[in-house]
Amino acid sequence: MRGTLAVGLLGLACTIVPARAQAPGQVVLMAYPGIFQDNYVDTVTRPFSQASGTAVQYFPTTNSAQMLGTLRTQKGDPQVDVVIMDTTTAAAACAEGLVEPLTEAEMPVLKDVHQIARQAGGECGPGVTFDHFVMTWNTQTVQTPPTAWRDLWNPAYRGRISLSSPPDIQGLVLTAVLAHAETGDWRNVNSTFQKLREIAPLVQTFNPQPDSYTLVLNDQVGFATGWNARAQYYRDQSNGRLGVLLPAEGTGFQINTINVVKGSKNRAAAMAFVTYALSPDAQAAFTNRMFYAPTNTQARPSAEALGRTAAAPESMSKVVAIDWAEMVKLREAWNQRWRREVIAAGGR
Amino acid sequence: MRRRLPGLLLCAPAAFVLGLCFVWPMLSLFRMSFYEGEGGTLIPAWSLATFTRLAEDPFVRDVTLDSLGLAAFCATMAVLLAYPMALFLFRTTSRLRGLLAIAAVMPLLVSGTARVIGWMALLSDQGLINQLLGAFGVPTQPLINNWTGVRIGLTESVMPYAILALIAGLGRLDRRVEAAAASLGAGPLTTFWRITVPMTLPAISAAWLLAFVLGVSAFITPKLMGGGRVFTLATEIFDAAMETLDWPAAAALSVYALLLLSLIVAAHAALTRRAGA
Amino acid sequence: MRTGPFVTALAAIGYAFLLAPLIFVIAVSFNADAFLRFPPSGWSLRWYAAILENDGILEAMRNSAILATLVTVLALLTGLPMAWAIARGRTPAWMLNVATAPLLLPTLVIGLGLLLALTPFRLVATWPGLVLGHLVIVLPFVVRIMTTALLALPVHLESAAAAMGAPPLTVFMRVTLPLAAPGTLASAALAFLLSFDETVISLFLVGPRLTTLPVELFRYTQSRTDPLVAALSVALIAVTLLVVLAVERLVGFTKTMGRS
Repeated sequence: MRGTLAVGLLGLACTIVPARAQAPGQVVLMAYPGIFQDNYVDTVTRPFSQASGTAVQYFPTTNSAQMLGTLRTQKGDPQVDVVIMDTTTAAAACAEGLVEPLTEAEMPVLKDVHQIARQAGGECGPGVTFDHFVMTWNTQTVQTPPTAWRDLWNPAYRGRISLSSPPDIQGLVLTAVLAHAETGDWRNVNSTFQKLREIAPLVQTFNPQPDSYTLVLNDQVGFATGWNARAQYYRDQSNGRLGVLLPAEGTGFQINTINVVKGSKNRAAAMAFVTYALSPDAQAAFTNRMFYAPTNTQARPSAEALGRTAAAPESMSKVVAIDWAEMVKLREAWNQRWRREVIAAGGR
Repeated sequence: MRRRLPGLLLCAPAAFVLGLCFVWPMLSLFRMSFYEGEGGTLIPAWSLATFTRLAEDPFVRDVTLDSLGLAAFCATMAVLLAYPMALFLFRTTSRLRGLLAIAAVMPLLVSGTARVIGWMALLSDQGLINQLLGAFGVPTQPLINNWTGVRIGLTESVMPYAILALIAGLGRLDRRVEAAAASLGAGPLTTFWRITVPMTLPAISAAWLLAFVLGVSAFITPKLMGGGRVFTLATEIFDAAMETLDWPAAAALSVYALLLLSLIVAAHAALTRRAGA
Repeated sequence: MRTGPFVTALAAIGYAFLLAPLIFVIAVSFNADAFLRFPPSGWSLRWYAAILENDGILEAMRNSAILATLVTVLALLTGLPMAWAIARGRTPAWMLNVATAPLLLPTLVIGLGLLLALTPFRLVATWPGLVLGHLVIVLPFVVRIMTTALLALPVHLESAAAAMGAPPLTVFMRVTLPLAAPGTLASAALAFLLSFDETVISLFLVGPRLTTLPVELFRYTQSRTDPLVAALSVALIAVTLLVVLAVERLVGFTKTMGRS
């Protein structure tokens, strides 16, 4: 049959059409999308490419869970060389052998990395950014500036609140911070869930699209959960329309780690890139641009920028020490309680 | 006698492709649903553990009922809205008929994401509808980020299919019967209820089923317009597959959803046959 | 019988509801603001210009065009013989139901199945993987439309040619195909658009090596805040409309659709 033959040939042809070839000496970096991507490319990957001649292809992925999924489906045939993801997800990737252990012998820059950042990565890649959990609010439409999460339990704010619920990490940190403020123990969440049930009917969305910062900026909501670095960046971009608050209840750290994917076809270039990303220059440049605190103790960002990061004394003093290894075990139970108890109570 | 090309040979290439891209993935899915999973790691097994876990979970039952209810509502609304459109397209002699027919199925060919962005501009608390209502002193109505938003979006997204199915079925409508009824003195409304609707009942029922099935499997609309409040079987499958990375659960839920849909389609077929007999 | 005012009015309501989101996407796309809001504070074409400067989106666009072409050609080559066999009663009638079964299944489930099936063979985010993934919806569609189109053709012309001694393949190429050309063109256009706009299955099958335009659009919505998404959506709508209108001009697309 001529048809069958043609099909065979075409089938063959489509294996030949080149997918974007992974050129030797090129690094594929999988990390967060949006403004993280824009700023990371500007301040880290592009300078690295210019200095080393190694091209970096940035592959944006919505969140850490999807990154882990990608690493799993590509196990044995990775299309990614370096990944920047949340420390809890990275721990799973490390345990499953999807990313490589790193040693000071092979990567001397690790000596300068902050102790907390090293611990966050275990024997795999270390933390590359520090960030913390904040409330964002619209400074133009909200009359009374908030000071704490508890301010939001107010019927006047019906439909004006965005909470990112688990599996989003923001939802987990919110739960932990509220529990800590109430009982002194972040794991003691029973009464916190009771409180969350009460606020649920006031919530506009538990899954802000495209993200919570946009909803605050275009006044879809007045208040939202968020991460400090992005919020600080949007505050500047919007000339202060977006307000950033470190609520009285406290905050939690969020650490992103950087890892070399096991089986990377460009391992040498990947190692070089990770070294650069952890270097004082790259760390300072990214902090100055986007207010993630550096993890390299030798990095010297501007005092103004540093004062707005997680490393500022104000935020350090309010951090609730969440043990993420333990959180991983609690996560699924909390996730289910949010769905069944909180969100179910929050018809709109 | 002329030489006959064996029909099965003609079907072979397509059958081969469908085997590769349909049967094999479905078998993989079936196989995966019997794996055991612990915190995302996969253990090959022939175990009913995942199914048992889902069966004992009242949340799965609630989500199932919500999904079916949502799909039934949207299918009904879609057919109600689509019926006059199909009738209009079927009868009109307008020069614009071609253009109008294209406009009716156009959304079918537009990415679901694009439509959701349009709905956001229209339905959000600061959207056009609420601005208009506000101008008349009506308080802000929550039209998105809840079940209402998903119902609106989903109805719209299954409408083109309903229109296509209705137009295909309207071919049975014999205009002479309608004309006869009218000439016997029946008013337009009587003719419509007593003649047009009964004659097109098979088309209505087929269009409803199609819209229903598509409504159960819809994923983008609930995900983007539900405000994190709307859990359906489809969003649960996606979350299990892509967010919590519990592949056995995603596969088992898929198998469950397929069984459920097959049952409904079979029940519909049985009902239609009885009604036809 | 003419269309009464009542039906026309109800149809107009249906149209308004159906097309509302599309119209609003278009309105938002001319937004001059840096984030999505309605009504915008001003109007501009800046987000259309931004598309042309975004390499990732341009590459995804190119990928989608290549992919849709490959899928259309393959679907026609394999689907046409099957449709002919079904239309001419050369195979049992249930063949059509089997071939169109994938259309009834949730694409989400098919996408997950494909992910599970293709992963061990390292076909995720490759051209063959994505082509297979798209064929699962495009092929049944082509078979369905072409079966209907072929059924509508006069059989006696084929019989006459065969009776005069023309071999089956010649009959097919010289008689059937020219007669079925309008239907084929219409189904090719629909197949192209279905593949070009496919989101859900692709979502499971793309990766750093290869991604498609609708997936980029979906991801953009989830991660970006600017009206570029709307501009891109309008560009997609325009492409779709152009293809459909061209086919309508050439062969009377709507007639084919009405019959299918």
